[in-house]
Amino acid sequence: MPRSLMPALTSSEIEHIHERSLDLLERVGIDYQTPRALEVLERHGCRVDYGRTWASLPRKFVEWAIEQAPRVVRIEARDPARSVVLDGRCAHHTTDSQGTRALDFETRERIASNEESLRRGILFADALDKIDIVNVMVAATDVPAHARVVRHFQIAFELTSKPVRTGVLQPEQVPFIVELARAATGEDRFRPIFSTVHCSISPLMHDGPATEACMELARLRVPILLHPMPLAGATSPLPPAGTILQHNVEVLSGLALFQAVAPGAPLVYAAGPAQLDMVSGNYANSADGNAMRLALVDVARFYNLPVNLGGLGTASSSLDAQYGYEASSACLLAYLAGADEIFSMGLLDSSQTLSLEKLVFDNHLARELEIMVRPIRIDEEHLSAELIERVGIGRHYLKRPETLASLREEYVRVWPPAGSDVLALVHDEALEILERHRAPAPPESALASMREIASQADRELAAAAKDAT
Amino acid sequence: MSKQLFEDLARAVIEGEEEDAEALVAQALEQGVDPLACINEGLVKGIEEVGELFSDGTYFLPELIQGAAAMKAALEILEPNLIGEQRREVVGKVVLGTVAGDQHEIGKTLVGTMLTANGFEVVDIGVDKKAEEFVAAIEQCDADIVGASALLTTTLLEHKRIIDSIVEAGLREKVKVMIGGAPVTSEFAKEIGADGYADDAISAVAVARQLIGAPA
Repeated sequence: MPRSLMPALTSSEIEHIHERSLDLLERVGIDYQTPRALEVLERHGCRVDYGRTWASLPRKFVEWAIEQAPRVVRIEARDPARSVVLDGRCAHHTTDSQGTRALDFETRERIASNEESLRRGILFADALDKIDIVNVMVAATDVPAHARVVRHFQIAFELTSKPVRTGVLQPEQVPFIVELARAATGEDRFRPIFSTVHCSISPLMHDGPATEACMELARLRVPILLHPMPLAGATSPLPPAGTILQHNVEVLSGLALFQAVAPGAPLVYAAGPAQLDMVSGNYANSADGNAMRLALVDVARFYNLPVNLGGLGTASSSLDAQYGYEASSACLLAYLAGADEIFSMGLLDSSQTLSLEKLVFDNHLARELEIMVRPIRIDEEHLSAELIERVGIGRHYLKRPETLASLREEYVRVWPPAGSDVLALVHDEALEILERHRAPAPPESALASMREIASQADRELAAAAKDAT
Repeated sequence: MSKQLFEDLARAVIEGEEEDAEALVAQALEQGVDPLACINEGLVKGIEEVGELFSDGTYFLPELIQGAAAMKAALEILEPNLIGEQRREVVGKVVLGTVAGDQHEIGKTLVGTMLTANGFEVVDIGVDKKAEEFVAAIEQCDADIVGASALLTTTLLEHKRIIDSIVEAGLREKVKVMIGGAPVTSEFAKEIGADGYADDAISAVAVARQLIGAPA
């Protein structure tokens, strides 16, 4: 186990948050924005009001739901060897999510992210060793909106054999994504080689179509990352404790629904609240934001759920000192807090702009920070007392066979190498990935099926979108 | 006596005291004080002070929002009582809303507050509003600018629908279109034919001024 922090909250503080959460879920309730959620909740004894798509969740029901959620969650990959198990033993990095801009690698200009930006981002995520879960990091804004989510999955399943993740926004998209996964794996049985993200709308509301999509996915045992994003002072109370409480209420409102739909459905608790910058009006991550997120890790642990915590994100627009400070401090805290997942690599400008160099730099930072918290082996062999005695006073170890013997195993190479220009270094590495890394694509027959599924989705979802208007 | 009342009104706006502002304007009307003078000598002075306090870093956004809310509450009582041809002087009229399928409120509200604090009249039609609801609001209040917000990458294209509906209604020459929201980019704004885009609520004011040719 890596080194860890003292808990941010005492057990009685966590109990207090839990009690107030149950109380609010019952008394204030939640607006799910879809009758389909209410139908399920009503069967579980919840009081519902179809007119305002509202439900009150009784304490006993929520407690039952918490017990159903599994502690260990397997995030499957197309290549089973690249699947990830969230069991609290180590942290797994994910890429950032759903930016809309990209820093063009060749021209250095900021452009609206397009299919090519996404393809490059996924290719890099496949190549970089510290990235375990490949979140769709930017939207292909050149793909029509109705077809975009399915197209994102198609591109991701094609270009990486690691686990894929992204939000599914409408229930109509689910069958196509399931078929894409089946085609990509070549297996008759559906294997969830992706997980999804469910963001509530603070305060205390869910998006109707996205909730319906997640209900379908919960039935299919696709892991769901429950990800409220309250902004302290704007969409949740200003004091960190109030935002922690509301965040937890929103997580539990999703957990309760999805467990009611499919008991045992795999869920991950995202500790993702932030603040409103009271000067600029922008989404912001202050030092307080990190403190809130750490406290929520303890709350997630109380529920015995795997936890996802922010790490390598930055508000900076370049790989500068601000990026170094924000990414290193948050990622180090995430490691020390024992997060199962650390979110997120690759985007600048508060998760808006994909930078291939940032993906490479983040990958190095993740490795360096992981080593910092790695336990040091203290045993007779590694203490080397006999060796110290043999070498004695005033001599050196460079010629000792013991040094040579442990060099490959024990020595940690210095990064960045002495005298190097770190930005030039990551640029060169990015160039090398672009030129040399080959995507582990499924066989051509699978790719052809995937193209056919995506084009069918395009046609059918376009017709559905037209009908809706 | 009116001077004291105007100062109290300005103070109510500066301190964000909505109920005080309402009570003061009700009192002013009872006493036969000119409603337009209440606006220009009281409320506008107050909101200008709020704007300055925000600009110099003394005030934070919630204080700006509460000041604007106090002013709006007082205006709602005063405006129906304006005498004859009296009209409140505004920089421009703006219809604001979040697009259909999107429940996100906060960005649009912040833009509305900044515009209000800077002399615009803002009609906030709320969240999850269809293109035709934007058009109806533009027609109803004779807006100079319409501002639409979207936070989801999937609701982005609603912006285009709004512009198309404005064209269909024959209003495109009359109203400028501003769009915003986290996934919106200036390239996207250009591509769909919007007139303005701002990165955040503060820069939205400068964009709005520029669009209608108001001095910065």
